[in-house]
Order: sequence, then C-alpha cells, then structure tokens
Amino acid sequence: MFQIVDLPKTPKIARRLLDMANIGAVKITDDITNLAKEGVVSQSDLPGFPVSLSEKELQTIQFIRDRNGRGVVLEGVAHNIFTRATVLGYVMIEDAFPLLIIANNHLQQAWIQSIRTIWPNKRINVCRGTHAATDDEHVNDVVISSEPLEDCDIYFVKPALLNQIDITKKVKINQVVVNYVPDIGSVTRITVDNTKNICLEIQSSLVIINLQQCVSIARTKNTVIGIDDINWQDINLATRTSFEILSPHSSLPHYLVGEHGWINSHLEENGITPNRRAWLPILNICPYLVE
Amino acid sequence: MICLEDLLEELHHISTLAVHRSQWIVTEGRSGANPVRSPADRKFLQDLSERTAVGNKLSTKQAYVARKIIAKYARLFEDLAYDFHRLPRGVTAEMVVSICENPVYRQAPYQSVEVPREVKYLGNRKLAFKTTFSPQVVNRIKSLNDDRIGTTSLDFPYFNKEYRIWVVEVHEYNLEKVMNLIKKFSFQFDDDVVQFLADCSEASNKPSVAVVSDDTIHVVCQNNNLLHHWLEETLLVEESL
Repeated sequence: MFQIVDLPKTPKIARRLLDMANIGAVKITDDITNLAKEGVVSQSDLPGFPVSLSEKELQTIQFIRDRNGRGVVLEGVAHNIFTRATVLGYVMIEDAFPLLIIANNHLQQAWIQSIRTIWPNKRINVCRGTHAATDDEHVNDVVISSEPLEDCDIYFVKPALLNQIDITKKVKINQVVVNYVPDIGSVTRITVDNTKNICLEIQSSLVIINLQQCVSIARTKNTVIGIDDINWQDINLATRTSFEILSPHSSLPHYLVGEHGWINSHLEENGITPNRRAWLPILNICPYLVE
Repeated sequence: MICLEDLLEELHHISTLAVHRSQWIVTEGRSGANPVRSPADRKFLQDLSERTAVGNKLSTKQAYVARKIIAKYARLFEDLAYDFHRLPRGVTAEMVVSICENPVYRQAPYQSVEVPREVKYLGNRKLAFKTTFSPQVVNRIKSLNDDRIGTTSLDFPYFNKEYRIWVVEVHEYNLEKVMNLIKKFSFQFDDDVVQFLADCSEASNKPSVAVVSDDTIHVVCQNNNLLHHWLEETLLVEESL
C-alpha cells in the first residue's frame, strides 16, 4: 500500500535515504545523490585533532553528525584510544557540553588522556560514589568526587555507579557516551526510564560497542571476526542498544527481531544477496570502524 | 380491525415455534423446522415486535420492511392451526396481503431519516464510512482489521463518536474487502475515493521512490511498511529531537 512522507531537503536526510537505497528499499533520483554529497565532513572541519584522520574515521564522524550525535559505533578493536577521540571530537566540536561518559575505570584514564591532548582546559569530573575520598581529590587536573560537581564540562561515571549517582538531577547533561557496557540495563535506566524528566536535556546518546560483544560464542571460534558474524537475534547487544536507547518509541523492531526476522525474509523475497553491512546504518549502527 | 403491529407480533410468535409440517402439529419449544426460514427475518421480527409490544412506534422504513416480510409469510397465518394470540380465527393469506398493501397502524409511524451510505477519503490511507446502524454493515467494517499489518494498525477500524463515522485504514491485506464493502452496501463515493483506491491497487507493482520537490524530499512508499515506519518513527522523530 502506498504512503507519502515529506522530509526536510537537507544533505544529511539525503545521505540517510542513500542508506535505505543501499538495501533496496527505495529508489532515489540523481538529485538526492547529489544533495548527499554536500556538506561532507573533511579534515579542515576538525582543527582540534593533532593528526590526520583516515577516511573511515571521517566517515564515522559524518555518520554520527547525520544522526545528531545519536548512534552506535561498532569498533573492531577494543582499546583504540584514537577512535574514541575521533568520536568524542565530533561531540565536542558541536559544543554540546556538559558531556557524560559512562566507562569503567581503566578506560576512563584512556579517555581522559585523549581529551587532554585536544582540549587541555576542559574541566573533568570523575564521580566515584562512596568510593571517592571524603574531600574532593584533584589528580592531574581531574576532580574526583562522590557526587557530581555542577560546573564541569565532562563527567565520568562507571556503569555500576549509575544506580547510586543520579547525575542528571544535579547537572544538565547534553550528551551521553557509553563505552563498552556489557549490561545495557544501566544505560537504559538513565536514558529511557527517566525519559520524562531528562529527555530534553540529553540531546544525544552515543554508544560504543566492540564487535566481539555482538558475536555469538560459536562464531567467536573464528580467528577473524567480521560484520557477517554478528548475531542478529533480538538479544544482540548492538541492535537492542540502538533501539532501546536511541529510538525507544519506534515500532521498527517489529520488523527486525530475530535471526530469521523481517530482514532475512525481505532479502529472500526480493532476491537480494544478504549484505549486513548495508543494514547496519538502518539500525543506527556505524560500521566503518570494523575491519 | 387488524393492524400491522398485530401481524408483526403474531408472526414473531409463530417464528418462535417449532413446527412439524407433515403433521401440522404446532409444539412450542420443541425442535423442528422454523416456518420463518430466514434468521435475518426472525431477528427483524423479534427486534420490532419487542418495540411495538411496549408501545413504541415504527419508523416509516421499518414499517415498509415489516410489510414486505409479513406478506412473504402470509400463508403461515392460515396454514398453522393454532390459537392465535392477537388475531381472530379465520384469517386468510389474502387478508394478510391486503393489510400489508393498505396498512392500518396501532400508532402512526414516524418519518425515517434518510442518511445515505457514504465513503470519503480522509488522507493518509484512511477512509471514513458513514452509515445508519446496520449490524450487517458494522460487522463487515469491523472485519476489515487484519493482524498481519503490524501493531499501529490494530487501532483500526474505529468508530468516531463525534462525527459518527467508521475510520478504516486501507492496506494491501484489506483492499479487496474494502472495495467489496463499498459495492455490496452501495456506499456513495467521490473522485477522491476512486483515485485513492486506484492508487492502492497499483501500489504493489511500483517501487518506492524518493524525489526532490521544491523545499522537501518527497517519498512515496509503495507497499513497504518497513520504509514507512523507518521514515516516520526513526528519521522524523530523530530530526525533531
């Protein structure tokens, strides 16, 4: 049956329609292809970065920018600090402070080092709940406290502490970045369960997930893991995260649930060779940093 | 003088009896072929006789249909040898037909309001059906829902009390049913409805397309709920945040 939808005529909308065209769901005209080429991110847009960015990193920044900072970045390497800096760079360039980064202790240090190389003057606060010292502690210009301070630019908190510290009550958070969270429940609590109170303050949610977390145990036996090894069951971390956090009100999962759900049947019915890389952008999952 | 309401109530009484025609024995409450063969006629007789028995008037349209039905079963009034409740003995089929042709009423019928059945296109794949109450029509409209079409469409059809219309969402699974409904119950329609249904019929053969149009990107989704949901519930929602 036919439905008509009118969209804003912008390059980023054109690029997202290109994603839909890549899975065979819509035919687009040359006008839209040309529109998609406008306003593409280049190195000159990112003066804060000390080294050149690869094409894939630029594509990643473009991907996130086109989604207003909301998306899942799938990483092939678990501890690639520069990749995180790339992602963070976009968020910062948009001047969307303050920023909440949800990451475990050892990754927090890596993030802080990356941030310092680009923005030495940003005030960073690490919230450690009851594990923090009684008085605020200053380590390398980072304030460690039990409760979030009110005038910082970047906040760090461990996933497990989200239940103890309701950071959004004290600080207006504009961005949430989640780094390698094995339990999305903690993230869901802050971005979805409290939506009524804080949704207007959180402008974006960026989740960084390692490919390893999206692959079933049986498939990890392969020495080389690729996008085609992603487990498409509805328990899949990447797909669940992308919709529960980024599109909690969407009914799109109705079509996507399960390994044998709508995606595969659609591909079979239309005689399309499965191309899971092409499907990832539809799920707001960025595929460019997986190789 | 025998009035139409008397015949109506008497025929309803007859329809509640079980009759063994071969023996011309009438036995209340026992099994057997019903002399009023049509279930729809029996229901009509029951509904109207319950109204007239408590002193309510018939409408002119109800009276017209009642005359047709009573005339159709005129022979029952003389074939069935039993004690009439309301009529004197010796009523003949000819007398019943004559009363139906020139009826006398216990209470003069009130004028029926003539509301033509009508269907209008509301936009966004929705049709509005306007009709006076008819169990047949309402049941057909209710049956236009189909659980294969996804969660959002389970809300259709619904009855809008303010405008007294049934709102139906048309999709590939109920298109044929919708067209049959319009034809069978003689709903009046205009060019917009014709154009909409024609577009629907052609949708399955066309690809979905996106084109630049002035200040917007115009997307026509053809038979593709995935694309439609993605556009409206993901893309546009994200843009509005």
